[in-house]
Amino acid sequence: MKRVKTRFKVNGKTVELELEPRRLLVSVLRDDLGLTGTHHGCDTTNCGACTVLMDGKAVKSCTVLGVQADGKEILTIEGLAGKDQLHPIQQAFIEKQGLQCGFSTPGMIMTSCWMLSQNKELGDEEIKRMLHGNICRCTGYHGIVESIKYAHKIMKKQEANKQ
Amino acid sequence: MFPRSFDYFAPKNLSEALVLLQDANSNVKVLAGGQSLIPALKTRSSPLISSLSSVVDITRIKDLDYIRKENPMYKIGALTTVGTLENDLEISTSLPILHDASSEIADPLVRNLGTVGGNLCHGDPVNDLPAPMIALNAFVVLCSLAGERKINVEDLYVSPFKTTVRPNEILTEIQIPFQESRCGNAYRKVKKGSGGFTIAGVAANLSLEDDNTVSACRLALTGVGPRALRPLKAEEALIGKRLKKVVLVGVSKLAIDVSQPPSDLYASAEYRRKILGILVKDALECAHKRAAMGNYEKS
Repeated sequence: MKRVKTRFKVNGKTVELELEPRRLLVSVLRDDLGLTGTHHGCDTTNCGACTVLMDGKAVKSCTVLGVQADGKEILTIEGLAGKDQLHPIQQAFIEKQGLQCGFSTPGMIMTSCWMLSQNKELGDEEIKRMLHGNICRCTGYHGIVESIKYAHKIMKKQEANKQ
Repeated sequence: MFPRSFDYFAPKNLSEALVLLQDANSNVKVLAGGQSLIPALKTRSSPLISSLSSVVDITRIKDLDYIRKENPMYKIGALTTVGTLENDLEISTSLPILHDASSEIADPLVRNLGTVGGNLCHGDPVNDLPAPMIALNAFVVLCSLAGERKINVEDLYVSPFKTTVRPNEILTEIQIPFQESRCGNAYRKVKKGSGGFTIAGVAANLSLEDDNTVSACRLALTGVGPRALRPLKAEEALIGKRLKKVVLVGVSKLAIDVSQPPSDLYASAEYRRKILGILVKDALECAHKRAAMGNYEKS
Protein backbone atom coordinates (compact mmCIF):
# COMPACT_ATOMS: atom_id res chain seq x y z
CA MET A 1 0.00 0.00 0.00
CA LYS A 2 1.17 3.47 -0.86
CA ARG A 3 2.92 5.53 1.78
CA VAL A 4 1.59 9.03 2.23
CA LYS A 5 3.70 12.14 2.64
CA THR A 6 2.65 13.74 5.92
CA ARG A 7 3.82 17.13 7.13
CA PHE A 8 2.88 18.52 10.50
CA LYS A 9 4.14 20.48 13.46
CA VAL A 10 5.07 18.75 16.69
CA ASN A 11 5.79 20.98 19.66
CA GLY A 12 6.45 23.86 17.28
CA LYS A 13 8.85 21.96 15.00
CA THR A 14 7.80 20.99 11.48
CA VAL A 15 8.34 17.34 10.58
CA GLU A 16 7.85 15.51 7.31
CA LEU A 17 7.38 11.76 7.15
CA GLU A 18 6.38 9.10 4.63
CA LEU A 19 3.78 7.13 6.52
CA GLU A 20 1.96 3.89 5.96
CA PRO A 21 -1.72 4.92 6.35
CA ARG A 22 -2.37 2.21 8.93
CA ARG A 23 0.13 3.66 11.40
CA LEU A 24 -1.42 5.30 14.45
CA LEU A 25 -0.38 8.75 15.64
CA VAL A 26 0.76 7.41 19.02
CA SER A 27 3.31 5.10 17.40
CA VAL A 28 4.45 7.76 14.94
CA LEU A 29 5.14 10.10 17.86
CA ARG A 30 6.89 7.45 19.94
CA ASP A 31 8.68 5.28 17.39
CA ASP A 32 9.44 7.69 14.55
CA LEU A 33 9.92 10.90 16.49
CA GLY A 34 11.20 9.52 19.80
CA LEU A 35 8.57 11.40 21.81
CA THR A 36 7.99 8.63 24.33
CA GLY A 37 6.31 10.91 26.85
CA THR A 38 3.04 10.09 25.12
CA HIS A 39 2.14 6.70 26.55
CA HIS A 40 0.69 3.69 24.82
CA GLY A 41 -1.89 2.49 27.34
CA CYS A 42 -5.00 0.43 26.69
CA ASP A 43 -4.88 0.86 22.91
CA THR A 44 -8.69 0.70 22.87
CA THR A 45 -9.72 4.38 23.17
CA ASN A 46 -10.49 4.01 26.87
CA CYS A 47 -7.61 5.06 29.10
CA GLY A 48 -6.36 8.38 27.68
CA ALA A 49 -2.66 7.79 28.44
CA CYS A 50 -1.96 8.66 24.79
CA THR A 51 -3.73 12.05 24.92
CA VAL A 52 -2.12 14.84 22.88
CA LEU A 53 -3.44 18.16 21.62
CA MET A 54 -4.27 18.32 17.92
CA ASP A 55 -4.93 21.89 16.79
CA GLY A 56 -5.56 22.75 20.44
CA LYS A 57 -8.06 19.98 21.18
CA ALA A 58 -7.30 16.98 23.36
CA VAL A 59 -7.53 13.72 21.38
CA LYS A 60 -6.55 10.11 21.94
CA SER A 61 -3.56 9.50 19.67
CA CYS A 62 -4.19 5.73 19.59
CA THR A 63 -7.42 6.53 17.73
CA VAL A 64 -5.99 8.93 15.16
CA LEU A 65 -4.11 7.78 12.06
CA GLY A 66 -0.65 9.30 11.70
CA VAL A 67 -1.62 10.56 8.23
CA GLN A 68 -4.53 12.49 9.74
CA ALA A 69 -2.00 14.79 11.42
CA ASP A 70 -1.06 16.24 8.02
CA GLY A 71 -1.23 20.04 8.21
CA LYS A 72 -2.04 20.02 11.92
CA GLU A 73 -0.25 21.18 15.02
CA ILE A 74 0.42 18.52 17.62
CA LEU A 75 1.40 19.30 21.19
CA THR A 76 2.77 16.50 23.37
CA ILE A 77 3.87 16.48 27.00
CA GLU A 78 7.43 17.22 25.83
CA GLY A 79 6.33 20.53 24.34
CA LEU A 80 4.70 21.88 27.46
CA ALA A 81 7.56 23.12 29.65
CA GLY A 82 9.46 26.31 28.93
CA LYS A 83 13.23 26.34 28.48
CA ASP A 84 14.09 26.12 32.15
CA GLN A 85 10.70 26.24 33.77
CA LEU A 86 7.94 23.70 34.13
CA HIS A 87 4.46 24.48 32.84
CA PRO A 88 2.12 25.54 35.69
CA ILE A 89 0.14 22.33 35.24
CA GLN A 90 3.28 20.22 35.66
CA GLN A 91 4.27 22.27 38.68
CA ALA A 92 0.80 21.85 40.17
CA PHE A 93 0.85 18.04 39.66
CA ILE A 94 4.12 17.90 41.60
CA GLU A 95 3.01 20.17 44.43
CA LYS A 96 -0.44 18.66 44.90
CA GLN A 97 0.66 15.07 44.31
CA GLY A 98 -1.39 14.59 41.17
CA LEU A 99 0.40 11.33 40.43
CA GLN A 100 1.39 8.04 41.95
CA CYS A 101 2.90 5.66 39.39
CA GLY A 102 2.84 8.37 36.72
CA PHE A 103 1.75 6.23 33.78
CA SER A 104 -1.46 8.14 33.09
CA THR A 105 0.12 11.50 33.93
CA PRO A 106 1.13 12.72 30.44
CA GLY A 107 -2.46 12.15 29.28
CA MET A 108 -3.92 13.70 32.41
CA ILE A 109 -1.77 16.78 31.95
CA MET A 110 -2.59 17.17 28.25
CA THR A 111 -6.33 16.89 28.97
CA SER A 112 -5.88 19.45 31.78
CA CYS A 113 -4.09 21.72 29.33
CA TRP A 114 -7.06 21.57 26.93
CA MET A 115 -9.52 22.00 29.78
CA LEU A 116 -7.71 25.08 31.11
CA SER A 117 -7.41 26.63 27.66
CA GLN A 118 -11.18 27.00 27.42
CA ASN A 119 -11.48 29.85 29.90
CA LYS A 120 -14.41 28.48 31.78
CA GLU A 121 -15.19 28.15 35.43
CA LEU A 122 -13.97 24.81 36.69
CA GLY A 123 -15.62 23.33 39.77
CA ASP A 124 -14.84 19.82 41.00
CA GLU A 125 -17.76 18.33 39.10
CA GLU A 126 -16.81 19.93 35.79
CA ILE A 127 -13.18 18.85 36.16
CA LYS A 128 -14.29 15.29 36.85
CA ARG A 129 -16.62 15.35 33.86
CA MET A 130 -13.83 16.57 31.60
CA LEU A 131 -11.55 13.80 32.91
CA HIS A 132 -13.95 11.00 31.95
CA GLY A 133 -11.63 9.94 29.17
CA ASN A 134 -8.52 9.61 31.33
CA ILE A 135 -8.18 6.64 33.63
CA CYS A 136 -5.80 6.40 36.60
CA ARG A 137 -5.53 2.88 38.00
CA CYS A 138 -3.76 4.09 41.14
CA THR A 139 -7.15 5.81 41.64
CA GLY A 140 -5.42 9.04 42.58
CA TYR A 141 -8.19 11.19 41.17
CA HIS A 142 -8.46 13.34 44.27
CA GLY A 143 -4.88 14.59 43.87
CA ILE A 144 -5.42 15.07 40.14
CA VAL A 145 -8.51 17.24 40.65
CA GLU A 146 -6.68 19.27 43.30
CA SER A 147 -3.71 19.72 40.95
CA ILE A 148 -5.91 21.01 38.15
CA LYS A 149 -7.64 23.46 40.46
CA TYR A 150 -4.25 24.65 41.70
CA ALA A 151 -2.89 24.98 38.16
CA HIS A 152 -5.97 27.00 37.25
CA LYS A 153 -5.19 29.34 40.13
CA ILE A 154 -1.53 29.75 39.15
CA MET A 155 -2.43 30.38 35.51
CA LYS A 156 -5.07 32.96 36.40
CA LYS A 157 -2.52 34.73 38.59
CA GLN A 158 0.09 34.69 35.81
CA GLU A 159 -2.49 36.06 33.41
CA ALA A 160 -3.37 38.87 35.82
CA ASN A 161 0.31 39.71 36.35
CA LYS A 162 0.79 40.02 32.62
CA GLN A 163 -1.89 42.66 32.30
CA MET B 1 -2.75 -3.12 17.57
CA PHE B 2 -2.24 -2.22 13.95
CA PRO B 3 -4.90 -2.24 11.29
CA ARG B 4 -4.35 -4.21 8.10
CA SER B 5 -2.89 -2.16 5.26
CA PHE B 6 -5.20 0.09 3.28
CA ASP B 7 -4.99 3.00 0.88
CA TYR B 8 -5.76 6.45 2.25
CA PHE B 9 -7.35 9.41 0.52
CA ALA B 10 -8.04 12.81 2.08
CA PRO B 11 -10.19 14.86 -0.30
CA LYS B 12 -10.28 18.61 0.33
CA ASN B 13 -13.88 19.15 -0.70
CA LEU B 14 -17.15 17.30 -1.23
CA SER B 15 -16.93 16.94 -5.00
CA GLU B 16 -13.44 15.43 -4.76
CA ALA B 17 -14.76 13.00 -2.16
CA LEU B 18 -17.75 12.01 -4.29
CA VAL B 19 -15.50 11.36 -7.30
CA LEU B 20 -13.33 9.10 -5.13
CA LEU B 21 -16.43 7.20 -4.04
CA GLN B 22 -18.16 6.96 -7.40
CA ASP B 23 -17.23 3.34 -8.10
CA ALA B 24 -16.96 2.39 -4.45
CA ASN B 25 -18.18 -0.87 -3.01
CA SER B 26 -18.17 -2.09 0.57
CA ASN B 27 -14.35 -2.26 0.43
CA VAL B 28 -14.20 1.50 0.84
CA LYS B 29 -14.99 3.14 4.17
CA VAL B 30 -15.56 6.81 4.88
CA LEU B 31 -13.73 8.20 7.92
CA ALA B 32 -15.71 11.06 9.45
CA GLY B 33 -14.02 11.31 12.85
CA GLY B 34 -12.73 7.79 13.16
CA GLN B 35 -13.74 7.17 16.76
CA SER B 36 -15.68 4.04 15.80
CA LEU B 37 -13.95 3.16 12.54
CA ILE B 38 -10.36 3.24 13.81
CA PRO B 39 -11.07 0.97 16.81
CA ALA B 40 -12.82 -1.41 14.38
CA LEU B 41 -9.83 -1.31 12.03
CA LYS B 42 -7.49 -2.04 14.92
CA THR B 43 -9.30 -5.12 16.18
CA ARG B 44 -9.43 -6.48 12.59
CA SER B 45 -12.43 -8.54 13.67
CA SER B 46 -15.42 -6.39 12.76
CA PRO B 47 -17.39 -7.66 9.76
CA LEU B 48 -17.52 -3.99 8.78
CA ILE B 49 -13.93 -3.95 7.65
CA SER B 50 -13.21 -7.56 6.73
CA SER B 51 -12.57 -6.69 3.10
CA LEU B 52 -11.51 -3.08 3.48
CA SER B 53 -9.09 -1.80 0.87
CA SER B 54 -9.27 1.97 1.25
CA VAL B 55 -10.31 4.74 3.61
CA VAL B 56 -11.63 8.09 2.41
CA ASP B 57 -10.99 10.63 5.17
CA ILE B 58 -13.59 13.38 4.76
CA THR B 59 -12.58 15.35 7.87
CA ARG B 60 -10.74 17.90 5.73
CA ILE B 61 -13.97 19.02 4.07
CA LYS B 62 -14.36 22.26 5.98
CA ASP B 63 -17.83 23.35 4.90
CA LEU B 64 -19.68 20.39 6.44
CA ASP B 65 -19.17 21.69 9.97
CA TYR B 66 -22.05 23.97 10.96
CA ILE B 67 -25.23 24.31 13.00
CA ARG B 68 -27.75 26.64 11.34
CA LYS B 69 -31.27 27.72 12.11
CA GLU B 70 -33.13 28.11 8.83
CA ASN B 71 -36.87 28.35 9.18
CA PRO B 72 -38.56 25.83 9.50
CA MET B 73 -35.64 23.61 10.49
CA TYR B 74 -32.26 23.22 12.13
CA LYS B 75 -29.51 22.14 9.78
CA ILE B 76 -26.49 20.34 11.19
CA GLY B 77 -23.47 19.66 8.99
CA ALA B 78 -22.43 16.01 9.10
CA LEU B 79 -18.89 16.84 10.20
CA THR B 80 -20.00 18.82 13.23
CA THR B 81 -18.28 17.11 16.14
CA VAL B 82 -20.32 15.59 18.93
CA GLY B 83 -18.49 17.99 21.28
CA THR B 84 -19.62 21.00 19.25
CA LEU B 85 -23.23 19.75 19.34
CA GLU B 86 -22.95 19.19 23.09
CA ASN B 87 -21.72 22.73 23.73
CA ASP B 88 -24.06 24.58 21.35
CA LEU B 89 -26.27 26.88 23.42
CA GLU B 90 -29.09 27.12 20.90
CA ILE B 91 -29.31 23.31 20.68
CA SER B 92 -29.12 22.90 24.47
CA THR B 93 -32.12 25.13 24.98
CA SER B 94 -34.26 24.34 21.91
CA LEU B 95 -33.46 20.65 21.43
CA PRO B 96 -32.21 19.52 24.85
CA ILE B 97 -32.59 15.87 23.81
CA LEU B 98 -29.52 16.33 21.59
CA HIS B 99 -27.57 17.81 24.48
CA ASP B 100 -28.64 14.87 26.67
CA ALA B 101 -27.42 12.38 24.08
CA SER B 102 -24.23 14.08 22.91
CA SER B 103 -22.93 14.89 26.37
CA GLU B 104 -23.07 11.21 27.32
CA ILE B 105 -21.32 9.73 24.29
CA ALA B 106 -18.02 8.10 25.28
CA ASP B 107 -15.81 10.84 26.82
CA PRO B 108 -14.84 14.46 26.01
CA LEU B 109 -11.71 13.43 24.08
CA VAL B 110 -13.66 11.11 21.81
CA ARG B 111 -16.33 13.81 21.37
CA ASN B 112 -13.59 16.18 20.18
CA LEU B 113 -13.18 14.03 17.06
CA GLY B 114 -16.34 11.96 16.69
CA THR B 115 -18.93 13.54 14.39
CA VAL B 116 -22.71 13.65 14.26
CA GLY B 117 -22.72 12.22 10.73
CA GLY B 118 -20.33 9.46 11.72
CA ASN B 119 -22.44 8.45 14.69
CA LEU B 120 -25.54 8.28 12.47
CA CYS B 121 -23.83 6.31 9.67
CA HIS B 122 -21.99 3.74 11.77
CA GLY B 123 -25.11 1.66 12.32
CA ASP B 124 -24.14 0.19 15.68
CA PRO B 125 -27.43 -0.38 17.57
CA VAL B 126 -25.83 1.21 20.66
CA ASN B 127 -24.94 4.49 18.90
CA ASP B 128 -26.72 7.23 20.81
CA LEU B 129 -27.74 9.77 18.18
CA PRO B 130 -30.12 7.71 15.97
CA ALA B 131 -32.88 7.40 18.61
CA PRO B 132 -33.05 11.14 19.46
CA MET B 133 -33.00 12.02 15.76
CA ILE B 134 -35.87 9.58 15.13
CA ALA B 135 -37.80 11.07 18.07
CA LEU B 136 -37.30 14.53 16.51
CA ASN B 137 -38.47 13.26 13.10
CA ALA B 138 -35.16 14.30 11.55
CA PHE B 139 -34.07 13.78 7.96
CA VAL B 140 -30.62 13.27 6.48
CA VAL B 141 -29.28 14.43 3.14
CA LEU B 142 -27.26 11.81 1.23
CA CYS B 143 -25.07 13.02 -1.62
CA SER B 144 -23.52 11.14 -4.51
CA LEU B 145 -22.29 12.21 -7.95
CA ALA B 146 -25.75 11.28 -9.26
CA GLY B 147 -27.37 13.87 -6.96
CA GLU B 148 -28.98 14.23 -3.57
CA ARG B 149 -31.67 12.33 -1.74
CA LYS B 150 -33.32 13.08 1.54
CA ILE B 151 -34.50 10.30 3.81
CA ASN B 152 -35.99 10.05 7.28
CA VAL B 153 -33.49 8.87 9.90
CA GLU B 154 -35.94 6.06 10.65
CA ASP B 155 -35.27 4.65 7.19
CA LEU B 156 -31.50 4.73 7.63
CA TYR B 157 -31.11 1.49 9.53
CA VAL B 158 -31.50 -2.12 8.46
CA SER B 159 -29.62 -4.33 10.92
CA PRO B 160 -26.46 -4.00 13.02
CA PHE B 161 -23.87 -2.03 11.01
CA LYS B 162 -26.08 -2.17 7.94
CA THR B 163 -27.56 1.13 6.76
CA THR B 164 -29.28 2.29 3.60
CA VAL B 165 -26.43 4.69 2.83
CA ARG B 166 -24.96 3.50 -0.47
CA PRO B 167 -21.19 3.02 -0.79
CA ASN B 168 -21.01 5.95 -3.24
CA GLU B 169 -22.90 8.31 -0.95
CA ILE B 170 -21.87 10.69 1.82
CA LEU B 171 -24.26 11.89 4.50
CA THR B 172 -23.82 15.66 4.36
CA GLU B 173 -26.53 17.21 6.50
CA ILE B 174 -29.08 16.46 9.20
CA GLN B 175 -32.33 18.42 9.11
CA ILE B 176 -34.50 18.73 12.19
CA PRO B 177 -37.91 20.38 11.93
CA PHE B 178 -38.72 23.12 14.47
CA GLN B 179 -40.72 21.69 17.34
CA GLU B 180 -44.14 22.94 18.42
CA SER B 181 -44.43 25.47 21.22
CA ARG B 182 -45.51 23.16 24.05
CA CYS B 183 -43.09 20.44 23.10
CA GLY B 184 -40.44 18.81 25.27
CA ASN B 185 -37.86 16.13 24.64
CA ALA B 186 -35.29 14.12 26.54
CA TYR B 187 -32.86 11.21 26.19
CA ARG B 188 -32.07 8.90 29.07
CA LYS B 189 -29.65 6.00 29.03
CA VAL B 190 -27.65 3.55 31.09
CA LYS B 191 -24.10 2.81 30.07
CA LYS B 192 -21.33 0.49 31.11
CA GLY B 193 -18.79 2.52 33.07
CA SER B 194 -18.16 6.22 32.64
CA GLY B 195 -17.14 6.20 28.99
CA GLY B 196 -18.53 2.84 27.98
CA PHE B 197 -21.10 1.66 25.49
CA THR B 198 -24.79 2.21 26.02
CA ILE B 199 -26.71 -0.71 27.49
CA ALA B 200 -30.11 0.80 26.76
CA GLY B 201 -31.42 4.27 25.97
CA VAL B 202 -34.77 5.97 25.41
CA ALA B 203 -35.53 9.12 23.40
CA ALA B 204 -38.86 10.83 24.05
CA ASN B 205 -40.38 13.82 22.31
CA LEU B 206 -43.89 14.96 23.16
CA SER B 207 -46.28 17.86 22.74
CA LEU B 208 -48.87 18.95 25.28
CA GLU B 209 -52.32 20.50 25.03
CA ASP B 210 -53.14 23.44 27.30
CA ASP B 211 -54.62 21.03 29.84
CA ASN B 212 -51.35 19.01 29.84
CA THR B 213 -52.73 16.00 27.99
CA VAL B 214 -50.34 14.58 25.40
CA SER B 215 -51.25 15.67 21.86
CA ALA B 216 -48.33 14.09 19.98
CA CYS B 217 -45.49 11.77 20.88
CA ARG B 218 -42.51 10.05 19.31
CA LEU B 219 -40.36 7.51 21.13
CA ALA B 220 -37.23 5.67 20.03
CA LEU B 221 -35.11 3.05 21.75
CA THR B 222 -31.32 2.49 21.70
CA GLY B 223 -29.53 -0.80 22.23
CA VAL B 224 -32.52 -3.09 22.60
CA GLY B 225 -32.82 -4.37 19.06
CA PRO B 226 -30.92 -4.76 15.80
CA ARG B 227 -31.47 -1.04 15.16
CA ALA B 228 -33.04 1.96 16.88
CA LEU B 229 -36.70 0.97 17.37
CA ARG B 230 -39.89 3.01 17.48
CA PRO B 231 -42.52 1.57 19.84
CA LEU B 232 -45.59 2.76 17.93
CA LYS B 233 -48.15 1.23 20.27
CA ALA B 234 -46.52 2.91 23.25
CA GLU B 235 -46.71 6.25 21.43
CA GLU B 236 -50.40 5.74 20.62
CA ALA B 237 -51.17 4.82 24.21
CA LEU B 238 -50.02 8.25 25.34
CA ILE B 239 -52.19 10.36 23.06
CA GLY B 240 -54.93 12.22 24.91
CA LYS B 241 -53.60 11.11 28.29
CA ARG B 242 -52.00 12.88 31.20
CA LEU B 243 -48.64 11.49 32.29
CA LYS B 244 -49.88 9.63 35.35
CA LYS B 245 -48.12 6.69 36.97
CA VAL B 246 -50.60 4.12 35.67
CA VAL B 247 -50.20 5.46 32.11
CA LEU B 248 -46.41 5.34 32.39
CA VAL B 249 -46.48 1.73 33.58
CA GLY B 250 -48.61 0.75 30.58
CA VAL B 251 -46.45 2.66 28.11
CA SER B 252 -43.24 1.14 29.52
CA LYS B 253 -44.72 -2.32 29.10
CA LEU B 254 -45.68 -1.63 25.48
CA ALA B 255 -42.12 -0.40 24.79
CA ILE B 256 -40.63 -3.52 26.37
CA ASP B 257 -42.93 -5.65 24.19
CA VAL B 258 -41.41 -4.36 20.94
CA SER B 259 -37.81 -4.59 22.18
CA GLN B 260 -35.58 -7.46 21.11
CA PRO B 261 -32.63 -6.88 23.42
CA PRO B 262 -29.47 -8.93 22.95
CA SER B 263 -27.56 -10.68 25.71
CA ASP B 264 -23.89 -9.84 25.44
CA LEU B 265 -20.72 -9.08 27.33
CA TYR B 266 -22.24 -5.94 28.81
CA ALA B 267 -25.70 -6.97 29.94
CA SER B 268 -28.26 -9.75 29.72
CA ALA B 269 -31.46 -9.33 27.71
CA GLU B 270 -33.46 -9.54 30.91
CA TYR B 271 -31.48 -6.71 32.49
CA ARG B 272 -31.87 -4.59 29.38
CA ARG B 273 -35.66 -5.08 29.41
CA LYS B 274 -35.83 -4.10 33.06
CA ILE B 275 -33.70 -0.99 32.54
CA LEU B 276 -35.71 -0.08 29.44
CA GLY B 277 -38.94 0.16 31.43
CA ILE B 278 -37.36 2.56 33.89
CA LEU B 279 -35.76 4.65 31.16
CA VAL B 280 -39.06 5.03 29.28
CA LYS B 281 -40.59 6.48 32.42
CA ASP B 282 -37.60 8.75 33.15
CA ALA B 283 -37.37 10.08 29.59
CA LEU B 284 -41.11 10.75 29.39
CA GLU B 285 -41.22 12.50 32.73
CA CYS B 286 -38.29 14.73 31.82
CA ALA B 287 -39.75 15.48 28.36
CA HIS B 288 -43.08 16.30 29.98
CA LYS B 289 -41.45 18.64 32.49
CA ARG B 290 -39.60 20.41 29.69
CA ALA B 291 -42.76 20.69 27.60
CA ALA B 292 -44.65 22.20 30.50
CA MET B 293 -41.84 24.63 31.21
CA GLY B 294 -40.93 25.38 27.61
CA ASN B 295 -37.98 23.00 27.13
CA TYR B 296 -35.51 25.14 29.04
CA GLU B 297 -35.16 23.06 32.16
CA LYS B 298 -31.96 21.07 31.74
CA SER B 299 -32.26 18.32 34.30
